[in-house]
Amino acid sequence: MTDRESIENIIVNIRKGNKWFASKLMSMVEDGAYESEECLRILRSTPGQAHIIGVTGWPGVGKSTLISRIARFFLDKDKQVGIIAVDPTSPISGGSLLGDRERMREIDGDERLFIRSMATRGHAGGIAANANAFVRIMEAMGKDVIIIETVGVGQDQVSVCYVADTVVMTVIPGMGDYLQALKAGIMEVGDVFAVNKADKKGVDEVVMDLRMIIGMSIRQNDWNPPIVKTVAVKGIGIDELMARIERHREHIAQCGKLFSKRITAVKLEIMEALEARFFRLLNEKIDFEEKLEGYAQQVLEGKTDRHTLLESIFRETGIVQQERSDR
Amino acid sequence: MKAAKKKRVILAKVGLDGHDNGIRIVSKWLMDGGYEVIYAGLYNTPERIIQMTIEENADAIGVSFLSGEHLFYAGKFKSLLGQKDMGHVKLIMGGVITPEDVEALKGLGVDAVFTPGTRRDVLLSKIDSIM
Ligand SMILES: Nc1nc2c(ncn2[C@@H]2O[C@H](COP(=O)(O)OP(=O)(O)O)[C@@H](O)[C@H]2O)c(=O)[nH]1
Ligand SMILES: [Mg+2]
Repeated sequence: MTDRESIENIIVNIRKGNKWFASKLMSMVEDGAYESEECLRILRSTPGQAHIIGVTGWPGVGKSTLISRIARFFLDKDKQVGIIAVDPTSPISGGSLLGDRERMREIDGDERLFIRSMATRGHAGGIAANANAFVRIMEAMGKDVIIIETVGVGQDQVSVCYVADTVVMTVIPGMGDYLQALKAGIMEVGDVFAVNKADKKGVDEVVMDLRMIIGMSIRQNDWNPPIVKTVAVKGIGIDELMARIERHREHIAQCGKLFSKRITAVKLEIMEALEARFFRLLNEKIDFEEKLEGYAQQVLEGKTDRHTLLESIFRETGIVQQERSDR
Repeated sequence: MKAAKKKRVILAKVGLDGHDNGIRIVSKWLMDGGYEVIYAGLYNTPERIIQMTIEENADAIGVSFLSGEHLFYAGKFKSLLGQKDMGHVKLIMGGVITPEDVEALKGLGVDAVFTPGTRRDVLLSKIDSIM
């Protein structure tokens, strides 16, 4: 068990930049160890200054390759860099194949760099909360820049985007029709658009599609999301992309959005924690997951309704003492 | 749905041998077996894999060879793990390895050795048993 002394030991070592302690704390967070909460609280009490960049987009658009270029850009300026690469957990086996790191081999191994692969582990795991915790740990290690890779599709992965200050939405030539169909969905999260694989046919078309979609949407805080063409495999367009990313960070710091973004991320964390805690409580008290199948059958066959079912679950768990009589 | 402890395994090829079919298949098997597999691909050095193991807090390292360098690398990995106080990390090796060398590897402290043709269920139950 981790006692007071070892919590302090963890904190001191992480603040010295020790990778082992940081890595172990990350696993404690993922495995839901209660001691990790106190560690995180202490780490948070010293606010960090890192720039948190999210890179999102469909599988195969070149996110990992792009991130390795972005990281190289910062390493060349002698900055400390952290990378969190999120991949989905298979809902069937609970396992996952985390393959982003392989695409970062050009930078992997640098002492100033810390790469951590992270599986989504199903919704009760709290994906945004874990990503945000990893960010805070890396920040405490002294990382100047923290880059998060996420597919950004589906509720859980989109929520990871809220952890970032600047979200780079990555698209490739040929995606125009798809973007048209998405519209609002992508506009919500993208602060900067990278049209990667600009060495392929159809770049100008996808840039035009993006311009149109951006033009139609209402943005807050006078930020007009720029579009940058990149060829990540060759390092083309990276300087311009970086200029835009850094400009965005300055912008949100000036207009106060930076703070509200951080608040949004923590709100999400609290919601996720509540959800996870709630499920745990239900399982502890009434073996909820075991019974779910049976509940579903009853509702399917019209033997009960959802409302009545929830009322009885709440009463059984003691969440609600008795039937409300004030109605 | 509670957050369960997940076992994490790094799979990699070390050295100049450029065949990754085997290790790709094993990655898939382990994923289907419920493991979190960090796939590190080709041309790694033991030092880099150790660094990765620290960053990923992996429970095991799996490396495969075609080129007959397994004894050399087994010693190398074992000594690096020892130096870094990482004795808890399991070492798994695969490749074309003679029965005598399999014994030699086990003597060096390698936790499991797999040769071509190993069946999925055999591999999985062996790995489950050492983790
Ligand atoms: N032609 C071309 N291929 C690229 C470019 N960037 C990445 N790729 C390739 O696209 C594939 C997927 O890249 P990866 O970074 O793994 O994409 P991710 O799934 O979004 O992380 C790899 O084969 C890359 O080499 C680019 O700018 N041009
Ligand atoms: Mg990737």
